[in-house]
Order: sequence, then C-alpha cells, then structure tokens
Amino acid sequence: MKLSVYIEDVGQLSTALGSRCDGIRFGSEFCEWKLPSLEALERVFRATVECGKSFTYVTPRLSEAKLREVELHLAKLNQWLDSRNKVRVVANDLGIVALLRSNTFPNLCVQWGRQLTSIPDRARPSFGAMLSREGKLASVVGRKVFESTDLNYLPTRRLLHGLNVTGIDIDWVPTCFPALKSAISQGLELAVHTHLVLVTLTRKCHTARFLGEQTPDGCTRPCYNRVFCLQQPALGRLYLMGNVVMDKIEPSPQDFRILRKIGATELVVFANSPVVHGNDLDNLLDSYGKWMVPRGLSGLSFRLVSGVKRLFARTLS
Amino acid sequence: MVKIIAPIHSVEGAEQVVAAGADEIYCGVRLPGMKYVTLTGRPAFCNLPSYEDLAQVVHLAHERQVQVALTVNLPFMTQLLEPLVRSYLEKCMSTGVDSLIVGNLGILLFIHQMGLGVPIYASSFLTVRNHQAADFLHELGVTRIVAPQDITLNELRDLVEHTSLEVEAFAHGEGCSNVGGNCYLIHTHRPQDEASVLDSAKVSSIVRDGVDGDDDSFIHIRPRNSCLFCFDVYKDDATCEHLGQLPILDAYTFCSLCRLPEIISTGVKGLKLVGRGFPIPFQAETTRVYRRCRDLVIQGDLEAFHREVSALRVRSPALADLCSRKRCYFESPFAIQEQ
Repeated sequence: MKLSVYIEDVGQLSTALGSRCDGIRFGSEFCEWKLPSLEALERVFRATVECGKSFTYVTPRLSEAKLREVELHLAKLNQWLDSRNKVRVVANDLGIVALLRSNTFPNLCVQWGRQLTSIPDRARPSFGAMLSREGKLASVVGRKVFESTDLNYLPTRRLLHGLNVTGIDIDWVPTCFPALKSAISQGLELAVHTHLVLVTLTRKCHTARFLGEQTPDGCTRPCYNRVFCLQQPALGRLYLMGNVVMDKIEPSPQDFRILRKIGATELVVFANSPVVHGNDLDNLLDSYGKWMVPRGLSGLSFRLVSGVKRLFARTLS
Repeated sequence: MVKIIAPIHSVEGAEQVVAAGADEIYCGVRLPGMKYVTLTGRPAFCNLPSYEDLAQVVHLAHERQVQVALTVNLPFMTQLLEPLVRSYLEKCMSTGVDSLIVGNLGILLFIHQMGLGVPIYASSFLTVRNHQAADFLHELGVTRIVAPQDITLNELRDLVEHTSLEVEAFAHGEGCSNVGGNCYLIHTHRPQDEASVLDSAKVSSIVRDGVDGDDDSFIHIRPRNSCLFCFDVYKDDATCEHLGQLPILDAYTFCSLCRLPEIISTGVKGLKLVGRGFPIPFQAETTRVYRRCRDLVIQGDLEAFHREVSALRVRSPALADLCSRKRCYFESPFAIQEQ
C-alpha cells in the first residue's frame, strides 16, 4: 500500500515533500471556492514529480462556472503529461467524471471520489439503534446492508468500469472494509482516507460563517489553520474542518490487516486535519508503515521483498 | 409555464393541495411491515401509509390533470435491497404514477434496466449543479433535474441555460443546512421526543424563539434536524478552549417568495415545496400562496404580487422573523451569520 498526503494549500507542500509519503494529492476535495490557481497547480505538480512522488489532482462538487475553471486545469495537466505518466484526478462531481471519460484528456484517469459513494455507516447517530427497533431479523439483514456501500451493487460497478474509473476513494469506516473486497476484485484500486469519516458537508461554510467571512470569493480561508471540535449528546464528538464535518476513528492494526487482506492500494492522510495537527506527519506515516507490514515469517519475507523492490526502483530512477 | 410541485403524505393532503392549485404532487409510500426503513429519503411518517392510498391519490390527481411523481430517492443501493426496490416499484407503477424521483446511480440503473417507461427525475441527492452532470444523467434516462437546495440564483440560471433538461428548484420549506446527498446527520426519528429536544438551551433560536409555533400554515420548523442542535464548540488546539454552546451547523433556509419573479425568469420548469412530513394545513396553504403568487408574476402584475407578499408577512410573524434573519433560498452562501 502506498502512503499519500493530501494538501489543500501550497504552504503545506514542503512538509509533504519532505515526508516519507509516496504520493501527494493536491486540490480542494470539498470546497469549490478553494480551487487552486493554475500556477499553484503547476508548482505542486512539478515539485512532486521532481521529488519522485506520484501526483493526484483532487476536485470537489462544482457549479457550472467552477466546472469551467477545473476544465482548464485538466487541459493544462493533460498537456504537462504523456501517456507513460498518467495522473489520477479525484472526481467528486459527475460532471468531472463525464469530462474525463471522453478522450479529451487521455493522460488523466478517474479516481471515484468519496462524495460519490454512499456509505450508510457514516451516519451519526448510527443506524444500528434504528434497525434494532425493526425486529431481530430486520436488524441482522439491515446490519448487512448498512455495513456495505453502494459499490456493493454490480450495475454500479459495471458503470464505473464503463466510465474508465480506475480507483475509488473511501473514508475510514472499518465496518465496510470487508464489503469492499468485491469492488476491488473487479479491478478497482482502493484508496482509504485514514482516521476520518465524512459526516456532512455544506456550501454555506459553517466555519466561514462562524468566523464572520462575508463572501465565498473573498474568504480568507481560515480553515487552513483552524479546526473546531463539536460535542453534542446525541451525536458525540465531531470535527468541523472548513465546510465539512468529520468524525474521527482511531485505526487499529486489525483494520490495516483487513485492508491488506482485501487488497487496498493506498492510504491517504489529510495534512490539515485534527489527526495531523497534534502529530508529526512522519511519525504518523511511520506508524501506518509498521501496521501495513504483516507480522511473522510472512512479514519478514514481505519486508525483504519490499526492500528489494525499493532498491530496484531507486536504481532504475 | 412554471409548475407548482407540492408534497403530500396522505389522501386528505392530496385533495387539499390539488384544490389549492398544485400542478404536480410528489410522495412516497411506506414499506409494508417496516416502521422506520423507507426507500423515499424520508422517515416513514412522511409517506403515504399504503399502496391503496397511492392509488387513490393518483386517481384524484389525474381527475384534475395533476401529475404524481413517486419518490424512490433513497441515496443508497446494494444487491440486498434489489428485491425490495423491485417490489416497491412494481406496486407503485401499477397505480399509474407519472414519474419517478431517483437519488442514487444504482437505483437509476435498476429502473433503466426495468424499462418502466416513465420519466425519471434526478433528485437533489444527486447534487447536479452543472450541465455536464445533467447530460451524463440524461444518458441514463433522466429527463428532469431537481436542483440542490443550496444553489444560488446565478448558478440556477447558469444551469438552466446550459442544459437541455428541465430543471426544478426548491422554493419553500425546510432548506437543508448541508449538501443533501452528502449529509449523514440523521434527523431523529421519534416525533414524540420533540418536547425534550426543545430544551431552551439546546437548539437554534429559530426553533427556540417560538417561530415554530405561531403559524403552522406557512412556516413549520421541526426541532428534530440535527443541524439545528446546539453544540459545545471547542478550539481543536492545545488550549481546547470552550467557545460556547452554539447552533454552529445551523444554516437553515425556508422561503424564496419575494424572489419569485427572479426565480421564474431563470427558466426553471418547477417550483418545489418541501414538506412531505409537514401538517396538511402547511402543505395546502403554501401551495395556495405560491400558486397565487406565480400567477400574478406570470400575468405581469408585480404590484399585486408585492402586496400579497407584504400581507403575508403581516399575517405570519413567523415569516417576518425568518425574513429578518435572511433565512432565504438562493441567497449568498454566507448570508446566515447569527451565532
């Protein structure tokens, strides 16, 4: 599994480049008013590639006007690449998926964003309490339903293949990891965002309104360095990060074992999150790295093979 | 002609909104034997109790040339749900519904495969804000887009201009604080607990200050929506400073009446009223008011239209209060700043 760091702001670039991550994701996943400039996109892209790391461009849900802006970004990105070095674009809007499926941008491929995938177990409070009131049988069947995602539906997966989607993003909902095996077995690569579960997002940015920002275009982006913790008896503890509310779930080694078992290919750390704010990024990536390696003899051979692969890759580059 | 699209959850409600001038009505049906699980994106009490009720609704609506759209807009689909969805659709289609409102790609593909032969509308849960997304869904059989509740007037105009599909827009009723298709904050589903939720320290002022109480016929705000709750807010840093108990997620909108001329000028084909689970007087009165105001705008009698709106603010202090707090659809996204 490769480790990627997601940054929204060019100011976070040097930290990300200096870390032990294998890839950098850049862009705005949730807010169309935080789309990077073309200059910022080029700067991050070139710096990432020069550092030998993979680059992924992240896009949010988009209005008509902002879609036109992203279309320009995609055109430029496509120009900077060649067929040997494709770049993934995380698409959280069906409009971007539609744009990328045509041959207009042959050097870009689609990563199905997590806003396009429905996961009932993101619900807060959990659906479990509701299901138990329907009766035992309904509760058992319901649990099976709600521990899955809408990628556990064959026609949807076929549609994704038809759209040349090469991978999917998911958040940290360990109850649904086993169910994702069927999605991966159809050839989709799985990228998992660690620690955080997307509970809700808004266009009427709760952070901006709380801090008195007047307009989206003039927003000073306080979310780049401010996160709020929210607590409420029925909903528990949540985190307000810009225009998105997340829950935080501590990963366990077992979660990583399941991800290894099902064949997940990427872990994504959001650099501007409660997870990283209190931790050194490299310490966090190191702990993930340890959990990604199997224990015992199989682990020893895994480490040996991984080490040889890394040496081979360095020699080639 | 821009249609007035009204919500219902009962045969009586359907009779009243049709009499009030609705051009279309939309509704869902409860699943037999299920108290809490539905396929309609709303709790069970927001739906018609039975397929027989749906048949009655379709009959009375068709007698007045009013169309009926069936909601099957659960924003989720998985293999295990397929028999449930199939059964629901077959029973509802046999009553003669005119169209389906769908909120998930999987369900859309399933309906497409079933070949039901009725128009399919993309629910706001699919969050279509641009023509590329609209055209993509058109290839899957969609003929109308329900614009998300948080769309601004300029964005609505832009969308209508650039897509060949019909677009309907929400005009009145509970306007979500968050993106509907990505919100997993559950509305509590125990109406009998409303009294406990109305603890004065625990919900946003638009509920706490009695706005909910004065005039149920035009304003009705339920305290069960999680986004209206007060949260203890802390800085997430080394200080963990407590900033207060605040309705920090409350960006609730409710009305767009005074902007009706501008909304109609965008070219939308339908004005959608929210409130499948709301009291029947609310469903009927909002339909009547929007129908009257639409007619005045289309006739070009803007003076009469503005008089109507002003009179309504006088009749409904709750509406006047929401106006003063800028709880309006189509406003700038950061317009609501009371904290």
